[in-house]
Amino acid sequence: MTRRLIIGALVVVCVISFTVYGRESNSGPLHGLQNGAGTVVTPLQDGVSRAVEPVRNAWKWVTSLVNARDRAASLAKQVQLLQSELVQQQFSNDAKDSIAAVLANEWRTGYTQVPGEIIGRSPSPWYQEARIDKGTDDGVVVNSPVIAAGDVRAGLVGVVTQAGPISSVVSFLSDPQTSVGVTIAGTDGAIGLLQPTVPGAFEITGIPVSKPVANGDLVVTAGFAQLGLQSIYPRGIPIGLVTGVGHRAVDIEQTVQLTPFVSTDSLSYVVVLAPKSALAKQRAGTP
Amino acid sequence: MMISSAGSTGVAGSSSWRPRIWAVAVIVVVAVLLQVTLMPFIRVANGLPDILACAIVAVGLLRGSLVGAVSGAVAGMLVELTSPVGTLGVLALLYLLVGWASGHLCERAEVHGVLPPVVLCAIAVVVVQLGEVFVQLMLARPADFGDVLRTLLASVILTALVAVPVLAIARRVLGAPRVVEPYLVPRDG
Repeated sequence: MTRRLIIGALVVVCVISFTVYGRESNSGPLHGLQNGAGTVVTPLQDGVSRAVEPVRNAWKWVTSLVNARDRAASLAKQVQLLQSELVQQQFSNDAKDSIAAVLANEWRTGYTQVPGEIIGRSPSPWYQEARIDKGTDDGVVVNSPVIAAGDVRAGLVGVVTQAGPISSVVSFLSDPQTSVGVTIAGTDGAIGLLQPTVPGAFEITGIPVSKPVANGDLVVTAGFAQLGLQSIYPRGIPIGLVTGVGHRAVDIEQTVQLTPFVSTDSLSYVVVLAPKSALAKQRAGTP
Repeated sequence: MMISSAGSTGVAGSSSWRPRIWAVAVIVVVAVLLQVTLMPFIRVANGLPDILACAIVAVGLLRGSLVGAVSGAVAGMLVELTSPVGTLGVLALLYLLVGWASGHLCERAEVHGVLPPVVLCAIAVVVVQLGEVFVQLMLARPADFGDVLRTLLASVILTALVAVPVLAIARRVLGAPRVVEPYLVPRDG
Protein backbone atom coordinates (compact mmCIF):
# COMPACT_ATOMS: atom_id res chain seq x y z
CA MET A 1 0.00 0.00 0.00
CA THR A 2 2.77 2.42 1.05
CA ARG A 3 4.67 1.48 -2.09
CA ARG A 4 1.68 2.33 -4.27
CA LEU A 5 1.25 5.64 -2.46
CA ILE A 6 4.87 6.62 -3.01
CA ILE A 7 4.85 5.65 -6.68
CA GLY A 8 1.45 7.31 -7.18
CA ALA A 9 2.72 10.52 -5.57
CA LEU A 10 5.76 10.52 -7.86
CA VAL A 11 3.57 10.02 -10.93
CA VAL A 12 1.36 12.94 -9.83
CA VAL A 13 4.44 15.16 -9.31
CA CYS A 14 5.73 14.26 -12.79
CA VAL A 15 2.39 14.93 -14.48
CA ILE A 16 1.94 18.25 -12.66
CA SER A 17 5.52 19.30 -13.55
CA PHE A 18 4.99 18.45 -17.20
CA THR A 19 1.64 20.21 -17.39
CA VAL A 20 2.73 23.37 -15.57
CA TYR A 21 6.02 23.52 -17.49
CA GLY A 22 4.19 23.23 -20.80
CA ARG A 23 1.69 25.94 -19.97
CA GLU A 24 3.90 28.54 -18.31
CA SER A 25 6.00 31.13 -20.13
CA ASN A 26 9.80 31.02 -20.39
CA SER A 27 10.00 33.18 -17.28
CA GLY A 28 7.78 30.87 -15.23
CA PRO A 29 8.89 29.25 -11.96
CA LEU A 30 9.66 25.80 -13.40
CA HIS A 31 11.67 27.30 -16.26
CA GLY A 32 13.43 29.38 -13.62
CA LEU A 33 14.14 26.25 -11.59
CA GLN A 34 15.54 24.52 -14.68
CA ASN A 35 17.66 27.57 -15.50
CA GLY A 36 18.90 27.77 -11.91
CA ALA A 37 19.78 24.08 -11.84
CA GLY A 38 21.55 24.51 -15.18
CA THR A 39 23.56 27.37 -13.73
CA VAL A 40 24.48 25.37 -10.62
CA VAL A 41 25.65 22.31 -12.55
CA THR A 42 27.42 24.22 -15.32
CA PRO A 43 30.86 24.12 -13.60
CA LEU A 44 30.41 20.40 -12.87
CA GLN A 45 29.19 19.72 -16.39
CA ASP A 46 32.11 21.73 -17.74
CA GLY A 47 34.56 19.66 -15.65
CA VAL A 48 33.03 16.30 -16.57
CA SER A 49 32.79 17.43 -20.19
CA ARG A 50 36.53 18.13 -20.21
CA ALA A 51 37.28 14.85 -18.40
CA VAL A 52 35.43 12.79 -21.01
CA GLU A 53 36.80 14.81 -23.94
CA PRO A 54 39.43 12.17 -24.86
CA VAL A 55 36.64 9.58 -25.18
CA ARG A 56 34.60 11.98 -27.30
CA ASN A 57 37.61 12.73 -29.48
CA ALA A 58 38.31 9.01 -29.91
CA TRP A 59 34.70 8.50 -30.99
CA LYS A 60 34.91 11.43 -33.40
CA TRP A 61 38.08 9.95 -34.88
CA VAL A 62 36.43 6.56 -35.38
CA THR A 63 33.32 8.05 -36.99
CA SER A 64 35.41 10.35 -39.18
CA LEU A 65 37.24 7.27 -40.52
CA VAL A 66 33.92 5.65 -41.35
CA ASN A 67 32.68 8.77 -43.17
CA ALA A 68 36.04 9.81 -44.64
CA ARG A 69 35.32 8.79 -48.21
CA ASP A 70 31.82 10.33 -48.28
CA ARG A 71 33.11 13.49 -46.63
CA ALA A 72 35.98 13.85 -49.10
CA ALA A 73 33.55 13.45 -52.01
CA SER A 74 31.16 15.99 -50.51
CA LEU A 75 33.98 18.48 -49.87
CA ALA A 76 35.28 18.05 -53.41
CA LYS A 77 31.77 18.79 -54.68
CA GLN A 78 31.52 21.87 -52.47
CA VAL A 79 34.91 23.15 -53.63
CA GLN A 80 33.78 22.71 -57.22
CA LEU A 81 30.57 24.62 -56.54
CA LEU A 82 32.41 27.44 -54.78
CA GLN A 83 35.01 27.67 -57.54
CA SER A 84 32.29 28.00 -60.15
CA GLU A 85 30.59 30.58 -57.97
CA LEU A 86 33.86 32.52 -57.71
CA VAL A 87 34.40 32.48 -61.46
CA GLN A 88 30.83 33.63 -62.06
CA GLN A 89 31.29 36.49 -59.59
CA GLN A 90 34.55 37.58 -61.20
CA PHE A 91 32.92 37.74 -64.63
CA SER A 92 29.58 39.20 -63.64
CA ASN A 93 29.50 42.55 -61.93
CA ASP A 94 25.74 42.28 -61.64
CA ALA A 95 25.97 39.06 -59.71
CA LYS A 96 28.71 40.52 -57.58
CA ASP A 97 26.61 43.54 -56.74
CA SER A 98 23.55 41.49 -55.89
CA ILE A 99 25.53 39.21 -53.56
CA ALA A 100 27.14 42.24 -51.95
CA ALA A 101 23.68 43.69 -51.43
CA VAL A 102 22.45 40.47 -49.89
CA LEU A 103 25.46 40.17 -47.62
CA ALA A 104 24.65 43.30 -45.70
CA ASN A 105 26.88 43.65 -42.70
CA GLU A 106 24.30 44.29 -40.00
CA TRP A 107 25.29 41.11 -38.17
CA ARG A 108 28.92 42.20 -38.10
CA THR A 109 28.37 45.71 -36.76
CA GLY A 110 25.20 45.45 -34.69
CA TYR A 111 26.31 42.51 -32.58
CA THR A 112 29.15 41.59 -30.24
CA GLN A 113 30.63 38.22 -31.13
CA VAL A 114 30.87 36.06 -27.99
CA PRO A 115 32.78 32.79 -28.50
CA GLY A 116 31.46 29.90 -26.44
CA GLU A 117 32.15 26.22 -25.91
CA ILE A 118 29.47 23.54 -26.04
CA ILE A 119 29.54 21.88 -22.62
CA GLY A 120 26.41 19.79 -22.86
CA ARG A 121 24.07 18.40 -25.45
CA SER A 122 20.57 17.11 -25.25
CA PRO A 123 20.71 13.46 -24.15
CA SER A 124 17.61 12.82 -26.23
CA PRO A 125 17.74 12.44 -30.02
CA TRP A 126 14.44 14.33 -30.25
CA TYR A 127 15.80 17.67 -29.04
CA GLN A 128 18.44 19.44 -31.13
CA GLU A 129 19.75 21.64 -28.35
CA ALA A 130 23.05 22.27 -26.56
CA ARG A 131 24.27 24.10 -23.49
CA ILE A 132 27.14 26.57 -23.93
CA ASP A 133 29.39 28.14 -21.32
CA LYS A 134 28.32 31.74 -21.97
CA GLY A 135 25.34 33.50 -20.44
CA THR A 136 23.80 36.83 -19.61
CA ASP A 137 26.99 37.87 -17.77
CA ASP A 138 28.67 37.85 -21.19
CA GLY A 139 25.88 39.79 -22.90
CA VAL A 140 24.06 36.76 -24.29
CA VAL A 141 20.28 37.11 -24.31
CA VAL A 142 17.40 34.94 -25.43
CA ASN A 143 17.00 35.12 -29.24
CA SER A 144 20.71 35.83 -29.85
CA PRO A 145 21.68 34.22 -33.18
CA VAL A 146 24.46 31.63 -33.01
CA ILE A 147 27.03 31.04 -35.76
CA ALA A 148 29.92 28.58 -36.06
CA ALA A 149 32.83 27.72 -38.31
CA GLY A 150 32.20 25.01 -40.89
CA ASP A 151 34.42 22.98 -43.18
CA VAL A 152 34.15 25.55 -45.96
CA ARG A 153 32.87 28.71 -44.28
CA ALA A 154 31.07 29.94 -41.20
CA GLY A 155 27.29 29.89 -41.03
CA LEU A 156 24.23 30.24 -38.88
CA VAL A 157 23.65 27.21 -36.61
CA GLY A 158 20.87 28.24 -34.25
CA VAL A 159 19.53 30.63 -31.67
CA VAL A 160 19.72 31.06 -27.90
CA THR A 161 16.43 29.89 -26.36
CA GLN A 162 17.31 30.03 -22.65
CA ALA A 163 19.89 32.27 -21.02
CA GLY A 164 21.24 31.93 -17.48
CA PRO A 165 24.02 34.02 -15.91
CA ILE A 166 26.88 31.69 -16.87
CA SER A 167 25.36 29.31 -19.39
CA SER A 168 22.76 29.30 -22.13
CA VAL A 169 20.79 26.81 -24.19
CA VAL A 170 21.11 26.95 -27.96
CA SER A 171 18.42 25.45 -30.22
CA PHE A 172 19.97 24.35 -33.48
CA LEU A 173 18.37 25.02 -36.86
CA SER A 174 17.67 21.27 -37.04
CA ASP A 175 15.22 21.59 -34.14
CA PRO A 176 11.72 21.10 -35.59
CA GLN A 177 10.48 24.28 -33.90
CA THR A 178 13.11 26.48 -35.53
CA SER A 179 12.44 28.23 -38.81
CA VAL A 180 14.33 31.06 -40.47
CA GLY A 181 13.32 33.63 -43.08
CA VAL A 182 15.93 33.33 -45.84
CA THR A 183 16.77 34.77 -49.20
CA ILE A 184 18.66 33.12 -52.03
CA ALA A 185 21.35 35.06 -53.83
CA GLY A 186 20.33 35.47 -57.46
CA THR A 187 16.57 35.33 -56.89
CA ASP A 188 16.25 39.11 -56.72
CA GLY A 189 15.35 39.14 -53.03
CA ALA A 190 12.75 36.35 -52.96
CA ILE A 191 11.97 35.40 -49.39
CA GLY A 192 11.46 31.80 -48.27
CA LEU A 193 11.12 29.94 -45.03
CA LEU A 194 13.87 27.50 -44.03
CA GLN A 195 12.81 24.51 -41.95
CA PRO A 196 14.45 21.18 -41.07
CA THR A 197 13.11 18.00 -42.65
CA VAL A 198 15.11 14.91 -41.69
CA PRO A 199 18.28 15.23 -39.53
CA GLY A 200 20.90 17.20 -41.42
CA ALA A 201 18.57 18.22 -44.26
CA PHE A 202 16.62 21.43 -44.76
CA GLU A 203 13.92 22.65 -47.07
CA ILE A 204 13.06 26.19 -48.16
CA THR A 205 9.44 26.89 -49.03
CA GLY A 206 7.75 29.99 -50.36
CA ILE A 207 10.09 30.80 -53.28
CA PRO A 208 7.86 31.42 -56.33
CA VAL A 209 8.49 29.45 -59.50
CA SER A 210 9.05 32.78 -61.31
CA LYS A 211 12.32 33.25 -59.36
CA PRO A 212 14.72 30.67 -60.77
CA VAL A 213 16.99 28.95 -58.24
CA ALA A 214 20.02 26.87 -59.17
CA ASN A 215 22.12 24.31 -57.34
CA GLY A 216 25.04 26.01 -55.60
CA ASP A 217 23.17 29.27 -54.92
CA LEU A 218 24.05 30.88 -51.61
CA VAL A 219 21.33 31.04 -48.93
CA VAL A 220 21.49 33.80 -46.32
CA THR A 221 19.16 35.10 -43.63
CA ALA A 222 16.63 37.57 -44.99
CA GLY A 223 16.38 39.81 -41.96
CA PHE A 224 12.65 39.48 -41.93
CA ALA A 225 10.26 36.57 -42.06
CA GLN A 226 7.32 36.05 -44.39
CA LEU A 227 4.58 38.71 -44.48
CA GLY A 228 7.18 41.33 -43.66
CA LEU A 229 7.48 40.39 -40.00
CA GLN A 230 10.82 41.24 -38.44
CA SER A 231 13.09 38.25 -37.90
CA ILE A 232 15.24 37.62 -34.82
CA TYR A 233 18.09 36.89 -37.27
CA PRO A 234 19.83 39.89 -38.84
CA ARG A 235 20.11 40.12 -42.59
CA GLY A 236 22.98 38.45 -44.46
CA ILE A 237 24.22 35.58 -42.26
CA PRO A 238 25.25 32.74 -44.59
CA ILE A 239 23.48 29.43 -43.91
CA GLY A 240 24.35 27.05 -46.74
CA LEU A 241 24.12 26.22 -50.41
CA VAL A 242 21.18 25.07 -52.50
CA THR A 243 21.58 21.38 -53.34
CA GLY A 244 18.24 20.59 -54.93
CA VAL A 245 15.34 22.42 -56.57
CA GLY A 246 12.02 21.01 -57.66
CA HIS A 247 8.39 21.80 -58.41
CA ARG A 248 5.45 20.25 -60.21
CA ALA A 249 3.77 21.87 -63.19
CA VAL A 250 0.79 22.98 -61.08
CA ASP A 251 2.89 24.44 -58.23
CA ILE A 252 3.27 28.17 -57.80
CA GLU A 253 6.14 27.73 -55.35
CA GLN A 254 9.27 25.64 -55.68
CA THR A 255 10.78 23.37 -53.07
CA VAL A 256 14.44 24.06 -52.45
CA GLN A 257 16.80 21.72 -50.56
CA LEU A 258 19.70 23.20 -48.64
CA THR A 259 22.91 21.76 -47.25
CA PRO A 260 24.15 23.91 -44.37
CA PHE A 261 27.75 25.09 -44.13
CA VAL A 262 27.99 23.85 -40.56
CA SER A 263 27.04 20.38 -39.37
CA THR A 264 26.05 20.53 -35.71
CA ASP A 265 26.67 16.83 -35.01
CA SER A 266 30.29 17.23 -33.95
CA LEU A 267 30.29 20.93 -33.14
CA SER A 268 32.39 21.95 -30.13
CA TYR A 269 32.61 25.75 -30.36
CA VAL A 270 30.15 28.43 -31.44
CA VAL A 271 29.99 32.21 -31.60
CA VAL A 272 26.95 33.92 -30.11
CA LEU A 273 25.91 37.22 -31.66
CA ALA A 274 25.01 39.28 -28.60
CA PRO A 275 22.84 42.29 -29.57
CA LYS A 276 24.65 45.62 -29.39
CA SER A 277 22.81 48.09 -31.62
CA ALA A 278 19.25 49.29 -31.01
CA LEU A 279 17.99 47.35 -34.03
CA ALA A 280 19.70 44.17 -32.84
CA LYS A 281 18.14 44.55 -29.39
CA GLN A 282 14.78 45.17 -31.00
CA ARG A 283 15.18 41.98 -33.03
CA ALA A 284 15.98 39.98 -29.89
CA GLY A 285 13.08 41.58 -28.06
CA THR A 286 15.27 43.01 -25.28
CA PRO A 287 14.87 46.54 -23.92
CA MET B 1 26.09 -12.91 -14.62
CA MET B 2 22.84 -13.83 -13.00
CA ILE B 3 20.11 -11.52 -11.87
CA SER B 4 17.58 -13.43 -9.86
CA SER B 5 15.28 -12.13 -7.22
CA ALA B 6 11.99 -13.96 -7.02
CA GLY B 7 11.41 -14.91 -3.46
CA SER B 8 14.53 -13.14 -2.21
CA THR B 9 12.75 -10.25 -0.56
CA GLY B 10 14.63 -10.37 2.69
CA VAL B 11 16.30 -7.23 3.92
CA ALA B 12 19.53 -7.41 5.85
CA GLY B 13 20.06 -5.40 8.99
CA SER B 14 20.46 -1.64 8.81
CA SER B 15 24.26 -1.82 8.83
CA SER B 16 24.44 -3.71 5.53
CA TRP B 17 21.32 -2.18 3.95
CA ARG B 18 22.26 1.47 4.20
CA PRO B 19 25.50 1.33 2.15
CA ARG B 20 23.58 -0.42 -0.62
CA ILE B 21 21.10 2.45 -0.82
CA TRP B 22 24.03 4.85 -1.15
CA ALA B 23 25.31 2.57 -3.89
CA VAL B 24 21.99 2.98 -5.72
CA ALA B 25 22.35 6.77 -5.42
CA VAL B 26 25.93 6.62 -6.72
CA ILE B 27 24.92 4.45 -9.68
CA VAL B 28 22.07 6.82 -10.57
CA VAL B 29 24.20 9.98 -10.27
CA VAL B 30 27.09 8.52 -12.30
CA ALA B 31 24.65 7.29 -14.96
CA VAL B 32 23.01 10.75 -15.14
CA LEU B 33 26.41 12.44 -15.47
CA LEU B 34 27.49 10.09 -18.24
CA GLN B 35 24.12 10.42 -19.96
CA VAL B 36 24.24 14.22 -20.08
CA THR B 37 27.96 14.69 -20.78
CA LEU B 38 29.28 11.77 -22.83
CA MET B 39 26.37 9.95 -24.48
CA PRO B 40 25.04 12.91 -26.56
CA PHE B 41 28.35 12.95 -28.41
CA ILE B 42 28.12 9.24 -29.29
CA ARG B 43 25.52 9.70 -31.97
CA VAL B 44 25.07 7.18 -34.77
CA ALA B 45 22.26 7.63 -37.30
CA ASN B 46 20.75 10.14 -34.84
CA GLY B 47 20.50 7.40 -32.18
CA LEU B 48 22.09 7.69 -28.75
CA PRO B 49 23.01 5.00 -26.22
CA ASP B 50 20.79 5.27 -23.14
CA ILE B 51 23.09 4.33 -20.30
CA LEU B 52 20.56 5.72 -17.82
CA ALA B 53 17.87 3.28 -18.94
CA CYS B 54 20.35 0.42 -18.38
CA ALA B 55 21.19 1.71 -14.88
CA ILE B 56 17.51 2.09 -13.94
CA VAL B 57 16.69 -1.38 -15.28
CA ALA B 58 19.58 -2.80 -13.23
CA VAL B 59 18.43 -0.98 -10.07
CA GLY B 60 14.86 -2.15 -10.63
CA LEU B 61 15.96 -5.73 -11.17
CA LEU B 62 18.24 -5.75 -8.14
CA ARG B 63 16.16 -3.70 -5.69
CA GLY B 64 12.54 -4.11 -6.73
CA SER B 65 9.84 -1.87 -8.10
CA LEU B 66 9.82 0.79 -5.38
CA VAL B 67 13.54 1.61 -5.49
CA GLY B 68 13.47 1.22 -9.28
CA ALA B 69 10.58 3.66 -9.66
CA VAL B 70 12.02 6.24 -7.23
CA SER B 71 15.47 5.99 -8.85
CA GLY B 72 13.92 6.37 -12.29
CA ALA B 73 11.89 9.42 -11.32
CA VAL B 74 14.84 11.11 -9.61
CA ALA B 75 17.22 10.29 -12.48
CA GLY B 76 14.78 11.53 -15.12
CA MET B 77 14.16 14.75 -13.21
CA LEU B 78 17.94 15.29 -12.81
CA VAL B 79 18.46 14.87 -16.55
CA GLU B 80 15.68 17.33 -17.32
CA LEU B 81 17.05 19.85 -14.85
CA THR B 82 20.68 19.64 -15.96
CA SER B 83 20.56 19.22 -19.71
CA PRO B 84 18.87 21.03 -22.58
CA VAL B 85 15.66 19.09 -23.10
CA GLY B 86 12.53 21.11 -23.57
CA THR B 87 10.46 19.37 -20.89
CA LEU B 88 10.22 18.81 -17.14
CA GLY B 89 8.55 15.72 -15.71
CA VAL B 90 8.36 13.72 -18.94
CA LEU B 91 11.65 11.84 -18.66
CA ALA B 92 11.03 11.48 -14.91
CA LEU B 93 7.72 9.76 -15.63
CA LEU B 94 9.18 7.55 -18.38
CA TYR B 95 12.18 6.40 -16.31
CA LEU B 96 9.86 5.89 -13.32
CA LEU B 97 7.85 3.54 -15.51
CA VAL B 98 11.02 1.74 -16.61
CA GLY B 99 12.26 1.31 -13.02
CA TRP B 100 8.86 0.21 -11.75
CA ALA B 101 8.29 -2.27 -14.58
CA SER B 102 11.69 -3.93 -14.31
CA GLY B 103 11.33 -4.14 -10.52
CA HIS B 104 7.83 -5.51 -10.88
CA LEU B 105 9.08 -8.12 -13.32
CA CYS B 106 11.89 -9.26 -11.07
CA GLU B 107 9.52 -9.60 -8.12
CA ARG B 108 7.34 -11.99 -10.11
CA ALA B 109 9.74 -14.03 -12.19
CA GLU B 110 13.24 -15.42 -12.08
CA VAL B 111 15.59 -13.57 -14.39
CA HIS B 112 18.63 -15.65 -15.34
CA GLY B 113 21.52 -14.90 -17.64
CA VAL B 114 22.62 -11.83 -19.54
CA LEU B 115 20.09 -11.78 -22.35
CA PRO B 116 16.85 -10.98 -20.46
CA PRO B 117 18.22 -7.84 -18.76
CA VAL B 118 19.76 -6.66 -22.05
CA VAL B 119 16.41 -7.19 -23.78
CA LEU B 120 14.77 -5.28 -20.91
CA CYS B 121 17.19 -2.39 -21.49
CA ALA B 122 16.31 -2.39 -25.20
CA ILE B 123 12.59 -2.36 -24.36
CA ALA B 124 13.23 0.44 -21.86
CA VAL B 125 14.85 2.57 -24.58
CA VAL B 126 11.92 1.95 -26.91
CA VAL B 127 9.48 2.96 -24.15
CA VAL B 128 11.43 6.12 -23.26
CA GLN B 129 11.91 7.23 -26.86
CA LEU B 130 8.36 6.47 -27.97
CA GLY B 131 7.16 8.38 -24.92
CA GLU B 132 9.28 11.33 -26.00
CA VAL B 133 7.96 11.10 -29.57
CA PHE B 134 4.42 11.08 -28.18
CA VAL B 135 5.18 14.24 -26.20
CA GLN B 136 6.70 15.81 -29.34
CA LEU B 137 3.46 15.14 -31.18
CA MET B 138 1.45 16.55 -28.27
CA LEU B 139 3.55 19.71 -28.48
CA ALA B 140 2.80 19.93 -32.22
CA ARG B 141 6.39 19.18 -33.19
CA PRO B 142 6.46 17.18 -36.42
CA ALA B 143 8.02 13.70 -36.30
CA ASP B 144 8.82 11.73 -39.42
CA PHE B 145 7.88 8.03 -39.13
CA GLY B 146 10.95 6.80 -40.99
CA ASP B 147 13.20 9.02 -38.91
CA VAL B 148 11.62 7.74 -35.69
CA LEU B 149 12.19 4.12 -36.75
CA ARG B 150 15.81 4.77 -37.77
CA THR B 151 16.57 6.62 -34.56
CA LEU B 152 14.89 3.96 -32.44
CA LEU B 153 16.80 1.16 -34.13
CA ALA B 154 20.14 2.94 -33.73
CA SER B 155 19.41 3.77 -30.08
CA VAL B 156 18.39 0.19 -29.29
CA ILE B 157 21.56 -1.25 -30.83
CA LEU B 158 23.82 1.29 -29.09
CA THR B 159 22.07 0.75 -25.76
CA ALA B 160 22.32 -3.03 -26.05
CA LEU B 161 26.07 -2.59 -26.54
CA VAL B 162 26.50 -0.55 -23.36
CA ALA B 163 23.96 -2.58 -21.38
CA VAL B 164 26.20 -5.56 -20.58
CA PRO B 165 28.97 -3.61 -18.82
CA VAL B 166 26.44 -1.36 -17.03
CA LEU B 167 24.45 -4.36 -15.75
CA ALA B 168 27.63 -6.15 -14.69
CA ILE B 169 28.91 -3.09 -12.79
CA ALA B 170 25.52 -2.55 -11.12
CA ARG B 171 25.37 -6.22 -10.10
CA ARG B 172 28.84 -5.97 -8.61
CA VAL B 173 28.16 -2.70 -6.76
CA LEU B 174 24.65 -3.53 -5.52
CA GLY B 175 25.28 -7.19 -4.73
CA ALA B 176 22.55 -9.78 -4.55
CA PRO B 177 19.00 -8.90 -5.61
CA ARG B 178 16.96 -7.68 -2.69
CA VAL B 179 13.52 -6.16 -2.93
CA VAL B 180 13.14 -3.14 -0.67
CA GLU B 181 9.73 -2.40 0.76
CA PRO B 182 8.99 0.93 2.49
CA TYR B 183 7.81 -0.72 5.68
CA LEU B 184 11.08 -2.64 5.87
CA VAL B 185 13.24 0.47 6.01
CA PRO B 186 15.30 0.08 9.17
CA ARG B 187 15.05 2.78 11.75
CA ASP B 188 17.74 4.11 14.03
CA GLY B 189 17.78 2.61 17.49
